[in-house]
Amino acid sequence: MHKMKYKISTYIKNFLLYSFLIILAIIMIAPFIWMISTSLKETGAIFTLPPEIIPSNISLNNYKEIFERIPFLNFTKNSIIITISASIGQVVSCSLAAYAFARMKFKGSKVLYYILLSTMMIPSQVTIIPTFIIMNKLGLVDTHLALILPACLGGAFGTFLLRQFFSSIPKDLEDAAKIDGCGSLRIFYHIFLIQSKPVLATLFIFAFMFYWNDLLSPVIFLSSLDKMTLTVGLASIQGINYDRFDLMMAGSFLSMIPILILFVFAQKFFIKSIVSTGLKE
Amino acid sequence: MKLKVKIFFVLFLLLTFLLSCNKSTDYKKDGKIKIKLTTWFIYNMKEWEGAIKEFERTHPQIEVEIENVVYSMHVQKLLTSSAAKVPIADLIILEDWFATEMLERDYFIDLKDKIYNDLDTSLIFLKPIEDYKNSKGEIIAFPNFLISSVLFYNKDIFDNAKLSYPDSTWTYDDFLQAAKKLTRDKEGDGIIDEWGVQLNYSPFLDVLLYAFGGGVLSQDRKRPMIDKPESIEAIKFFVDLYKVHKVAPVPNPAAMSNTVAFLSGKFAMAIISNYVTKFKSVNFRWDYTYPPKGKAGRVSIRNSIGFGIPKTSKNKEAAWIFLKWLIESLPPQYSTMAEGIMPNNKKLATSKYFLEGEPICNRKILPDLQENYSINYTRTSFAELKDYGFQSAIERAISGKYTIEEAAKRGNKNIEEVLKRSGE
Repeated sequence: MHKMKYKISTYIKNFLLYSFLIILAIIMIAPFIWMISTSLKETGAIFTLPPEIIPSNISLNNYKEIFERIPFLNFTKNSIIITISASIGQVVSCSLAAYAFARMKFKGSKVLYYILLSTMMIPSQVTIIPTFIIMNKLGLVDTHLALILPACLGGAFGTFLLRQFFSSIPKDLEDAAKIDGCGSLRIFYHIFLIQSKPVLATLFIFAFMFYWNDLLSPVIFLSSLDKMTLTVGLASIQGINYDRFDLMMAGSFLSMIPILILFVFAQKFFIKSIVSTGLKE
Repeated sequence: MKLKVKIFFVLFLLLTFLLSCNKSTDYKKDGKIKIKLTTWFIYNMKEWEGAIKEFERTHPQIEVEIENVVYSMHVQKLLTSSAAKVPIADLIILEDWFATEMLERDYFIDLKDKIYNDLDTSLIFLKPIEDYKNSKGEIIAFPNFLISSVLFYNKDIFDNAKLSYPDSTWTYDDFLQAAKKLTRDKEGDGIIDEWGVQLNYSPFLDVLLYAFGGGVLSQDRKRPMIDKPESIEAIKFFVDLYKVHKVAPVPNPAAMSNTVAFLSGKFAMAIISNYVTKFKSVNFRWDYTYPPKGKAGRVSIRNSIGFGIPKTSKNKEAAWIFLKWLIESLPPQYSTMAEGIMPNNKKLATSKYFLEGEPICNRKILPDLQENYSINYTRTSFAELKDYGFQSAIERAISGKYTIEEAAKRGNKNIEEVLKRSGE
């Protein structure tokens, strides 16, 4: 009898829980569905009342037009070059800085670390003018390097994330490596990097998403059409007083594909990293 | 050691790859002077390219490169490049409301002599040029395209209600009476299906303030006018359309959404800017006419889109040659190249191509509106002055948190603060 009651209450609990989760999932996925639906509509059909989720006339014209309106493939290529280079630069530089902060004893390391952390509170808009002046002095304005170089000089968030992870790696491993004759760089590579694959993948995903979606920096630093990124191309579809939502949705959907692919492939690392960082200490 | 070599090799490869990215554009090519022009009219790109081709045919020594900029982020880019004194183009597109932020920055060349000595001034509307004048009397840009606020109306809704369309004789009383008749709950379910008016803070509220004899700023744009009795009367008229007469839904604070709202076909009338590209594919009949007359007469808020030449440009003369050509010699078939707003050239503004351009509408009123009824009050910190300054106060009057008088007083105080902060 008790077992039966327990079963029923478990079913009810599960039913309520899953219903709640399904509702949440629908809320989360609705904008995405709406984006795809709008991208498949004719221009005039966007504002029809009542709104149609499945368009009565499905059209791929917007996808065709987006390629005619902006050099979509060139923009995608530029985005890929910038995003991959900047993400690699970010992971390499942050991991080196994090290793130094986590394991190397030097005077003022704590102060330096806190100064670095405090830069997380400064919005990028504040530093954009000095960065622009520096890039201009270096002759890098209107080159992809203006976007990649700052990423290769470390970042507060990435350094913080990796430093926390590196701090949790047992000191004994490092000592054993030292006894075996390893220098700092070898320890960094063979002990710390190898042990930190999930968190490195996480940082790479974060960096990838940030640089892929970044609009402000490409708008400020780039001027030539042939160097523009996908986000700038999509934003430029927005006219001064004329927005082609259908076209923007088609472009947005296409631009999301690389992020989706990356997430699907790196999901394993991503979850593992969250789990392991949650368990540590 | 091996690892160090590996890391060095990887870094070297990475740097080589990075350095292989292209450097900035060469401004001179094949002995020609190459100038760069920025616009944001992506949906008129064919017209712009056609016009440039025509220019290059008649000026073979100059090559024009066009760059489409992101409208919403252009101000930030401009402010950054002006702070760094870096040219982003030889001809930079500006709109009056943010050009005011550039007035005192010493970034653009003074076009005053060129405009008054080099152009045929009988051809152009001179009033908007004043909107680009700084405290030294320099003119930092030429307003090439002029925007007017007009009264849009939905012909289908008027026809269904058997009312005659608005015209130049209308006053705001006529406007209110029509709005009452046009607001309808067609299905009798207590939900309004068609509204008489689409309320908006910009430009409708501005139009009302000045048409009723009040205003946002004094004529010298240095003192707030929101708490003057005439302004209070205008604000009351605006708020009452929503609260008392119930001929309009609550206004959307975002100015960009005004046209979108009217495009839904649920509004009989709206006083908005005369961009018409969006109207090409609507499924109702529409047109626009003069805004109604208030106690102080008829008012249309004037805005403009212009071009400035940065001091850091290497090709200032070539840029001026192109700008002059754009003002005086643009072939009429390209006169609708700015989303249907009027070119600042009286010949083009009255040309068959402009008046009969798609979508067909009452464009013939535009020169008269610019010449005789247009008002502009843009100035430094305009966006802050508008949004924080008084719109936020009027929003509270709409929501019932303030009385009209309190809103006007608060608006005035906010504007004073903004004026003080901007140091003028």
